[in-house]
Amino acid sequence: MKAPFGFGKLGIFGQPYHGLWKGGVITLPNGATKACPAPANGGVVLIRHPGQAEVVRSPAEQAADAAAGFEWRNYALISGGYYGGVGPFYSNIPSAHVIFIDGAGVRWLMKLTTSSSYVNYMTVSIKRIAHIDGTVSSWSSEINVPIDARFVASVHSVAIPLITISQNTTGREFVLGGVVNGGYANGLLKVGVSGTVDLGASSFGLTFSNEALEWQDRLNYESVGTESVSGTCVNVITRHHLQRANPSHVYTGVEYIEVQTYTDGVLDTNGPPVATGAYDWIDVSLEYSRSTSKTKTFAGGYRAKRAIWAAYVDDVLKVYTLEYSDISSGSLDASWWSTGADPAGYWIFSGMQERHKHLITKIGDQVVWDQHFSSSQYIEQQVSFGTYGLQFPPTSMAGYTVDNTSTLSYKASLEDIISSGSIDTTVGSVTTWTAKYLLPIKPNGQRWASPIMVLCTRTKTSTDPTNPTYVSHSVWAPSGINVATSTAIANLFATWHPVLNQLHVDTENVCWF
Amino acid sequence: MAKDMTAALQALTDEAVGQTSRKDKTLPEGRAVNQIPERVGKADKPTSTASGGGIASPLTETVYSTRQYWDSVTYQSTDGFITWQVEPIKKIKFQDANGADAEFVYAQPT
Repeated sequence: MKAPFGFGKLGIFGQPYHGLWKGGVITLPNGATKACPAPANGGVVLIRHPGQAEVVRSPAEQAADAAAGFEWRNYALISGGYYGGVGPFYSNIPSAHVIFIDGAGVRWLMKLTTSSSYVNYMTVSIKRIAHIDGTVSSWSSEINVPIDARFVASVHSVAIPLITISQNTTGREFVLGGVVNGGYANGLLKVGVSGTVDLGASSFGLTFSNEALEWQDRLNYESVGTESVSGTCVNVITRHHLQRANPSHVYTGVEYIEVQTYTDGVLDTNGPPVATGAYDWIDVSLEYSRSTSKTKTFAGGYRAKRAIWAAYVDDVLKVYTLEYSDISSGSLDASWWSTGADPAGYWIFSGMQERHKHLITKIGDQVVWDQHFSSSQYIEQQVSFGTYGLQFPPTSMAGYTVDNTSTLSYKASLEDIISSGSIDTTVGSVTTWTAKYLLPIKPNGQRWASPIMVLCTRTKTSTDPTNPTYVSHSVWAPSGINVATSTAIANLFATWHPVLNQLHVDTENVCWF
Repeated sequence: MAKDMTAALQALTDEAVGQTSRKDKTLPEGRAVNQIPERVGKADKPTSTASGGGIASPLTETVYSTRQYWDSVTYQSTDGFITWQVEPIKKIKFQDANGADAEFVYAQPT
């Protein structure tokens, strides 16, 4: 039922022009075009007013809408990185903006600013928006909201401006960050806001929470080492002793067999023959046999991970990550085993060792690309202890399990991760490193609400290591959909529709409206 | 009796073929009357009273600020993003052509 409005009734009230913007116009569903100012980029923010009903149109109205190219939606898109007079949200000022719907359903624009000095808070002010009542809304007073101290160094005033990486459909949860390294996030701060705005109350009547998801100085380099040994190692030495008469040294034909059985290094033996004045013994031969089920399994190496971006798909947060790991593993036979009580004992292992190196790009839990290098080789290890100690000191000398994963005092940069995960090949004197991973579609300053990245292969050679080349493979949206392309990343533009889940890739500026 | 029957049958037969003995009559000429000569009329304007009489058009609103409004009603865009707060009109005062006050009082929209 239509609402009364003045002396009449309200027909419909909203924004019916929707479609893909390109070349200055939005192409409507009926093929007609609607002129629209150029968006700053392809970024689109989805706003859903909680409980907003579906738009119901009569058959006649539907026919009229179709003819006019109108589409009435029950959600809003803030397209192109602008919101009205606020201007481009990505602007190079140390402020981020979020569109926040409070508990009463009222829309606010929230401005978040970091200080030029390193302080553990951000300054927040709000302004009512999207409400027509004949008055002009202005910015509120400012409040200081404490933030996770680990995040502070990730953004710093103009040098690394704070921007909104992404927000959910109500702005009640969003991710802030700084952008460096060609468009990657330098840090990610997840913020939660709840409550209904009361401008006269402390903190505007709102409750803020926050947590650093990634930060500039995180020690993210880990040593991984797991090792376990089980089974029994049995070595048997059989010595043949012949008896001789004294002093003639003539063999008497009597033989003594000495058996030395080492079970996990513990000796059990009948001992050598005992010489007397009339006879002595000579050790004439030795037999060695081994019966072992003792096996060492191990996996060890290094790994590092950094979060590079974040985006909401509806209200589900997807964190983009780059992960590197280089792990060697194997299952080795133990051919000799000392008890550990030996002053300089040792163990001998042998078998095949597999090495697996990965450079993995993920959006949320989805693996976008897993660059994998593997090799295998036969190895022999002699693990000495006593004098030199053990790499992984066991608690039991008969068998043991050690998990020695630890965080190292090292911050692996993105370049560290990419370089370490690269696959190297050498031809002659020239080494080439290749790595396939996600790159931001646009560099610094153009990233607000633009979660689109390009899967590229970077090739770097030892002859010109400072000028790598890039080849594009596909363009990715946070939902996981992707479009294949070979267009150079510098010439790529793309926009993702967060409701229709459509990804449009182009060679000029485009944006969904 | 037989003659009468014969005459009646003849009359019916003649009438069936459009022949009749009826004679049509016409109304007499009307009475002539004199024309009323052309002349100018005049009437005095009735004196208005506060308690009675009709509303003389046009109605003119002389003071905008005396309008009264119902409590505001908020309309929301289909996408839920924009709200438009409107106060429905409740009462408007007019003066009619005679300078008399008149009020339009509207019901609250529901």
